[in-house]
Amino acid sequence: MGTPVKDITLPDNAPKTLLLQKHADYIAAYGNKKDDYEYIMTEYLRMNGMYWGLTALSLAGQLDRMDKKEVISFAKSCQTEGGGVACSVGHDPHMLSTLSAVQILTLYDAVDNLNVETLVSWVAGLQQDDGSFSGDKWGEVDTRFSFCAVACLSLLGRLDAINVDKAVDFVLSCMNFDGGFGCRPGSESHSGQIYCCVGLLAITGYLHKINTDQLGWWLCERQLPSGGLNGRPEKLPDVCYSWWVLASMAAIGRLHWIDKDKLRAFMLACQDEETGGFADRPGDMVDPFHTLFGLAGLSLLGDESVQPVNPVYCMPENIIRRLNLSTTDDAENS
Amino acid sequence: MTKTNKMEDARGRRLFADLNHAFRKDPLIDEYDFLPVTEPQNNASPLLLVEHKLGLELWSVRLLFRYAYNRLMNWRDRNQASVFIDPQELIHLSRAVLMVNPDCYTAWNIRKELIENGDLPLADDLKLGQLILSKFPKSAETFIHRRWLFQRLVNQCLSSSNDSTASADGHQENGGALLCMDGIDIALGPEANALANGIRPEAAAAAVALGEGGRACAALPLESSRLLAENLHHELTVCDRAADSYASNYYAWTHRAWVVRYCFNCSLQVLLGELERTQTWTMKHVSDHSGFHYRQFLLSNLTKHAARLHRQYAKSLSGLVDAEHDFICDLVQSFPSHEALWYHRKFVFHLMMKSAKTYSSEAAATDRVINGELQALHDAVSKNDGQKRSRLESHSPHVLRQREMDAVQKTASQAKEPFQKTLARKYVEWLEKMFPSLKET
Repeated sequence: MGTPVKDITLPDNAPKTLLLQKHADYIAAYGNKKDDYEYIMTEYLRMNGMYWGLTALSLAGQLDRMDKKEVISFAKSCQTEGGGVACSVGHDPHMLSTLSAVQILTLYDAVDNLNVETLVSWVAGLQQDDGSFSGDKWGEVDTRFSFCAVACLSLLGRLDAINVDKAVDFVLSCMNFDGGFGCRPGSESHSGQIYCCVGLLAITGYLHKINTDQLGWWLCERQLPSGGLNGRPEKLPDVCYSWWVLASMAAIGRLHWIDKDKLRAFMLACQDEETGGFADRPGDMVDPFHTLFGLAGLSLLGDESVQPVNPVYCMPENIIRRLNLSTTDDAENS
Repeated sequence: MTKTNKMEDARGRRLFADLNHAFRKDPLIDEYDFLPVTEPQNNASPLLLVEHKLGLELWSVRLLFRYAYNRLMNWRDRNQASVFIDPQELIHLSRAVLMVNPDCYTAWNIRKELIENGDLPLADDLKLGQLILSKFPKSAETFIHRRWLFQRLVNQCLSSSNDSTASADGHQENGGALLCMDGIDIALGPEANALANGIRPEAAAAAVALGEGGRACAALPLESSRLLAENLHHELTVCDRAADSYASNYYAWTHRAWVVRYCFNCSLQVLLGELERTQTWTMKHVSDHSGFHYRQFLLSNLTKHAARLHRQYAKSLSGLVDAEHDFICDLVQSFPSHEALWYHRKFVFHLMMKSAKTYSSEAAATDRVINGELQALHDAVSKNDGQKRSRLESHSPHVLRQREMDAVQKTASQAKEPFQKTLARKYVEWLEKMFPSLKET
């Protein structure tokens, strides 16, 4: 019989076409039906959740279905006195929610609704001596926070507020033997962390420091027989990794190393025909997180019914171009 | 408030009281879970406490959480008219919130503030975190909070030193200084005792110890140092359990590496102890890529101290690397088609080649010290007659590479499983790319 390889099998009756309208409907209705308990249980990621939902709708070309005023008012109410933005009203500020808030307001071209100065100070104040960033005043260091800081400040046109060279040095110090990146120096390579590190290097113009072939090789090895991508060796495929890995490969100009047809088939199979939305893998429960990354991944793979997505920021490409931040051309030429 | 809400609030308050009572009755609760009871059966409490294990009937969890969370966040929201809640109540409310939803980082932050104010003993939070990990072994926020707790202990130990000749064996990380542990012999168990004379942790921590190169480590205040010594070794067990509970637990293993690096300061004794300790674990979890990566982390750090390894522990780095190579080749044969094993083999072989290259170059250029550590080791070893020469020292990179190529190609041809053949073939490709054919040196 032999050792079973960790993977899933695509069900025969899995969806084979993109159900874009169903996803837009799912997102637009999300949150309205949730009972009180679900709502407060997920409050610690509310700002992130709003970013996932709004970006997904935006990629589906239906951002106008959300109440712009309400969203802006919410984001504004989550900015704390110190400048950082919390996940929800009354919660503590954090780098993750601060980036999400800036991304949300950028979608609406309304960042001036935040106190940009205090926000920039707050973010810059979290840079450590070695160039790393902590997530908040309590000091946890992680390359995710480096990405959040750099992405956030670049969207605001304020990279001048931090020491970019040191930020880059720290990320490079997290490069591992296999060409990948972890959360801290010496940590295991992980697709999510790789996305963050590659993103930071793309924004700051240091992609050339990556061992492109080696990293590209590690990333394309994430593809399993089912067509889906996993995050690390011997893990199951997951639609969100189909984004983190794909976007990283796009950023380093190795998108062609993935079997696109097989990946597309896997991603389409993760849709729920009845409720709309994407799940992590076929048959599981859907959620906005996987719905965004499902749509974004399909967009990167070239599906023309979805708006083009920027692989570094995970935001509509037209918005990133409007801000003159697009590095897509550089990647294609590398 | 609607009638339903009032009823639920009252029930929530009662559940909250029941939970606090359970902890008062049994301060040694070390595990909890939610029982699959979705409707209240009778008027009895939905809490079950047996032999330090706590069960909560599922239907009650949402009522408890809603009650505790709303009260806690109402207090936290500075826009509200000031609500006073005494610290003890805040401790209980945040505990209830986190036991249901440990990713609620604001609740952990509230506890950090309570610790800073002296209202909550730091040790209590280590205990709570451990309890929460029993149910949520991959809660990122729980591990993040633990790092803050340990960092605080380490900072307290160092900053209270009288003569600030406290040394950090490295640069500042996480806003705090590293603890110089090299000279402190902390007994880590039977295997460690075989390596060095262990002394009681409390005594060790309280003593002034001399680190490498004669730098003095500061005297550590007794309470913080006692807590640190008591909990540091235990932290490795906490990580072990979390790794057992959830496969390829990224958070547990990166936390473990953090503890070794920033709390034990990569002490050789700890690195060696961990290498020994995790060998059996990884053998039993051959799909666990994180477990093998941890061994890579240990070996990488051991590489930086080859000479001292030999001097203090009579172990040769090359011997360790050889042994690891034997270990992984064995596993690759015994457990075919495991990507994690082949990955580990890549790392180990790469390490062997890196060290072998240094030896070869030194043979060619005797006056040049390419790597001070390895040169010292080479000299030390060559002084010992009859010392078994490791594979590394006896063979050039060319020979090593050829042997590895032959071994893997043999595995490929003998493999019965197609995926094992694939993995072997990929490994050969990697060998060819990484180490293009070398001339005999």
